[in-house]
Amino acid sequence: MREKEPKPKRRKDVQKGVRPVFRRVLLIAVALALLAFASFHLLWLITEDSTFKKPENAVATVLTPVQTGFSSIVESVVNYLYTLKLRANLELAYNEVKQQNEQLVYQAMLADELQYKLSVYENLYDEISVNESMNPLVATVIDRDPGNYFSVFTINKGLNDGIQPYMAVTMEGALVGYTYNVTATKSSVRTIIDSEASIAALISSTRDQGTVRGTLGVDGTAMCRMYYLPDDHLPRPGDTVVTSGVGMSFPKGIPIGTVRESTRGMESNKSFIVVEPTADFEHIEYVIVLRYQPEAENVEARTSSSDSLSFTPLETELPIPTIQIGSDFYQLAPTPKPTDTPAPSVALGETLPPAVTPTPTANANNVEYQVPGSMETGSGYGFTLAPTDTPTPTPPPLDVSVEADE
Amino acid sequence: MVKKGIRFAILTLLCYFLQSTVASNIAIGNVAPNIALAVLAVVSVALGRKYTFFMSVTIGYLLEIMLPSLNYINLILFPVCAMLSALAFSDKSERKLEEERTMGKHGGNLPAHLRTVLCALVSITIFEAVNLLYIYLNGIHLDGGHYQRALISIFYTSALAGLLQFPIRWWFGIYRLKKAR
Repeated sequence: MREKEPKPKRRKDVQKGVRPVFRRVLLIAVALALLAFASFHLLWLITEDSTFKKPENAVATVLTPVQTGFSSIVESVVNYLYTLKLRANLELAYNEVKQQNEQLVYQAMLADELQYKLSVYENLYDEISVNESMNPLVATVIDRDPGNYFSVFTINKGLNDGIQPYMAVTMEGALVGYTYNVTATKSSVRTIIDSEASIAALISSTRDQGTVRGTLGVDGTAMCRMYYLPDDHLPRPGDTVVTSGVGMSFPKGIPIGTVRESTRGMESNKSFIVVEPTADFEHIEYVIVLRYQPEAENVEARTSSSDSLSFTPLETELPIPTIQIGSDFYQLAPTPKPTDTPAPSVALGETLPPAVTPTPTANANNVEYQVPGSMETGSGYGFTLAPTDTPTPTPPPLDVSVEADE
Repeated sequence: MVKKGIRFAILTLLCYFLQSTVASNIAIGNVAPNIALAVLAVVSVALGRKYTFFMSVTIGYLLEIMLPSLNYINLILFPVCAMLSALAFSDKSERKLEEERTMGKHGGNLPAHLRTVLCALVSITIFEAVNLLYIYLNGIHLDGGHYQRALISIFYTSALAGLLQFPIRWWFGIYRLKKAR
């Protein structure tokens, strides 16, 4: 086997002995330099001699621009990161604000709804308090017929609440319809715009009576027609049409609507005028049922069943001609002499004592529907009364006096 | 060696710059970490006590002259904290290991990554303890807030050292050196 020849010494190996010494010297020099700088600083702190501050100043002079550049780089990075964070925070805040806004909008809507309900309740309360004698009852509409030809809806009150068929249903001081098909817990209401509805009414200004019927099934419009009006009167547009209290157990005076036009239409040889209903049939939520029952006048009861009714003719005071037998058949009896005219009890020139003015007695049957004052003024959402005629200004009298010439 | 020296010098300056500019921007709950001590802990384990000494004195000196919060404190405290922790957690010498083996002990070093974190923990604990002591001696009553801030600083700095050790060790070729062995 061939022996390995020793490799020639490389330059690195030659320098191997020199390098550790250099390294050690370098390290010691650096360490001494550091210690010297530190010592100078400590000496300056102790003695406050500016001579010892020179190395520190030199280091600071070199280090300051580098640190300034580094600091600006760090600052820009931090600013960029801060911007990102701010943007994320802004997005987060935006989402939070958006969510809060949605909640506030919902609360505002709820508040509006409650406010609307409150106003409705206030009007209902006014209407009820004004017409307490008609035993009003507030009911909620729970169902509505969406048909195009009939207008009926269902309320949540029935026989258990004292509701009977054909009771007036009002809303906001106007007639909506009447009850029918009443069950224990609910009732149906046929509105006045339904073609099947027929209500006795009168025009408040002329007191002309007629019958109001709906037109929904006739021409599809939510109007009413008033039939059987006398021909000798011409209703004016804007005249209020109210219930007449004839027929069904309706109180008198419930506003139905206003006369829309005075021209008369014809249907099956029957003339009619168009009446625009006052009630808003599109927004019926709560209604008032007037549980009004007209009472018959008291009749004296029969005292005894044994009393027989007997017809007793009154004595007539007509003169009976006396027929004298044996005389002329047609000869009448002589006319009696007239009696003296009774003297007046009161002398001429004297006046009779005034008779006592009779005090009107309360009659339960003479109940008339009262429109709440808030609705009369047209405030809120109540109906508006028919406009009165604009008074014609009276022209001032012409001055026809002639001044005398002086 | 020159390359290592340059890298070490750059790391030292970078450590100072990070401590003086970045530390306040990465504060958690208004408690900034001590980046300088974290890097010193990494250097203590990765490069040894000699480099730790040079770096700690340099950083302490630069902080002392550029950010003089308290006289002497940076100049003294950084080398002291770094050297004390380096004594405990830097690589043991062959003689020390042999001595431990003779005495029947384990005779080895803990994992370097764990030692780095422990080294940072010890050094920052000393640093915070001295600061608290200084505050207390100035007549300020220490309350829970002080201790809470100290604890946050200790754990934050230790965690930072655990993170920073990977890029620093990689930059100094520690992992490549291990692979060559």
